[in-house]
Amino acid sequence: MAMVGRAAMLEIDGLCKRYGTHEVLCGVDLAVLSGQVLALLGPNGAGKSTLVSIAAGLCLPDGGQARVAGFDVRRERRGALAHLGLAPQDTGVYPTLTVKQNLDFFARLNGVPSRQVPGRVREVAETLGLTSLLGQRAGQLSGGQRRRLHTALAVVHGPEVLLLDEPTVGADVAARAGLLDVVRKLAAGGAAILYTTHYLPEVEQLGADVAILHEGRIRLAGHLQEVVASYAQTRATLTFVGDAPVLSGWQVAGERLVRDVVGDELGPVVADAIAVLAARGGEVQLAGMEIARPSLETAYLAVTGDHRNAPEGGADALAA
Amino acid sequence: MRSLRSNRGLAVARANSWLLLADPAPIVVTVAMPLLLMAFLMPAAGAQLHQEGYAGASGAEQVVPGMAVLFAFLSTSLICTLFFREHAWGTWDRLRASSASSLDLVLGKVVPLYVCLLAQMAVLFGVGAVAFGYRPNGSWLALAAILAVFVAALVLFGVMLVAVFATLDEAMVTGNLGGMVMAGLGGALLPPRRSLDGRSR
Repeated sequence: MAMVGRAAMLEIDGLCKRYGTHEVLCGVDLAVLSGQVLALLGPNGAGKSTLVSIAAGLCLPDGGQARVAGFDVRRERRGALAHLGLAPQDTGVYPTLTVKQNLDFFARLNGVPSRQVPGRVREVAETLGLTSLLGQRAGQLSGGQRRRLHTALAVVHGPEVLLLDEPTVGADVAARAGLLDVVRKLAAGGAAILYTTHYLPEVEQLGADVAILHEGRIRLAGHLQEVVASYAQTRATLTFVGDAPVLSGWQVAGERLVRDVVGDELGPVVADAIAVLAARGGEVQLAGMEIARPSLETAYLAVTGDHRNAPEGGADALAA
Repeated sequence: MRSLRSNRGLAVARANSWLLLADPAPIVVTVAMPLLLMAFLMPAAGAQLHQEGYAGASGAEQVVPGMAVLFAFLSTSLICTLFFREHAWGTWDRLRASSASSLDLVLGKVVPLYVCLLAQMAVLFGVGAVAFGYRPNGSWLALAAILAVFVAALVLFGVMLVAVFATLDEAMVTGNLGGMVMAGLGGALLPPRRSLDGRSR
């Protein structure tokens, strides 16, 4: 995940957090570089939102530290937060104020000089497709429009570090695509983005780097392709006419033989199986073969081993 | 007030003024209701003051300051609402994660409300003077100074409720009951001497 020449804008070092006897975070280390989108994944209750809260100064850690743009969030709070934009998990807008008033307020609140505020409001509204809604009260917006405003409030002051905690929850397909586009643009503009989500296809669309948080620890971190290549399994399924034969290394499931393979083993494994089956002659009749390509979902499940709390699409991917 | 001179404190004050103006119903109620009650209760208050030996009293001497003070106490619920609805709207965490200081946030929220409550007092005493003939015993200026301090104390009382209680309901129940008790003991409903006389019988 090394990105030569880019500064670490968000640094999490040895972060620990306990709620009672339950240890939510135990020694978490992370770094998000300028221009990087780091997708923080993990099952429900893994500690993603707690980590975001600590990085945003909303919650104190029991150990370790978070630094934003070099400022310790705990000891140099105002300096750190001046460089930070937060879009919490729950939508946070003022429903009785207009879209423009919401944007204007959060721009000023985060230190945008008065003279630059109208320009920033226009620019962010345009980027997030809110221009025609500027005069409308936030309470009258649709769910997707409100999500876009929610994100706009986090970026209106042009922060160098952006924390987006499940930003597309409740957004429709178009709104989601629009938000992902905005995230890409912000990263291209140099923002360091920590992006938590349960929607793994979003991570693939963003081409983000990945960190998987599980049981309080970062289990895996790396670039998307590396993670998929290293951990995702390819599933080969052979379907037969009648009951499937027994074949070493393959699981029998009625008329099918199933085998999960990692990395480059697929070709030799399937070739061996077909050779063995061919040697048996008319004893078995192969009806078809299916290869399920590796994805982040299969990698995620391989790392967390948690199929009950699989992210969206995860369980289906394995059942396919 | 150093904090309010900062852009962030001013931004919070400005936004909270917008919020108050965007939904003015609670403020209108705390102005309209005491005015109505003044009109209805003035004859009874006049008769009571006559019985007390104040031959020239119209009743405005009791009901105008009495209702103003009572409804000012009830306005503490506005302060609680102003803070707690930030949680309901999901904006509180956004405020805390901004580079504004706690002082910016608290002062920015209460200063517009302080101005609003002062305006409430000005309307109630102003209408009381014009419509009901209320005149203070001392100077208007002294009354204004007392009201300014009283409203500041009320606002701080509201902030204390927000700091102590975890929910809006708890804060509002305590604020309304406490306000009613303090207003009653202070003579907003009946002159204090009369209340004490009644208790001693």
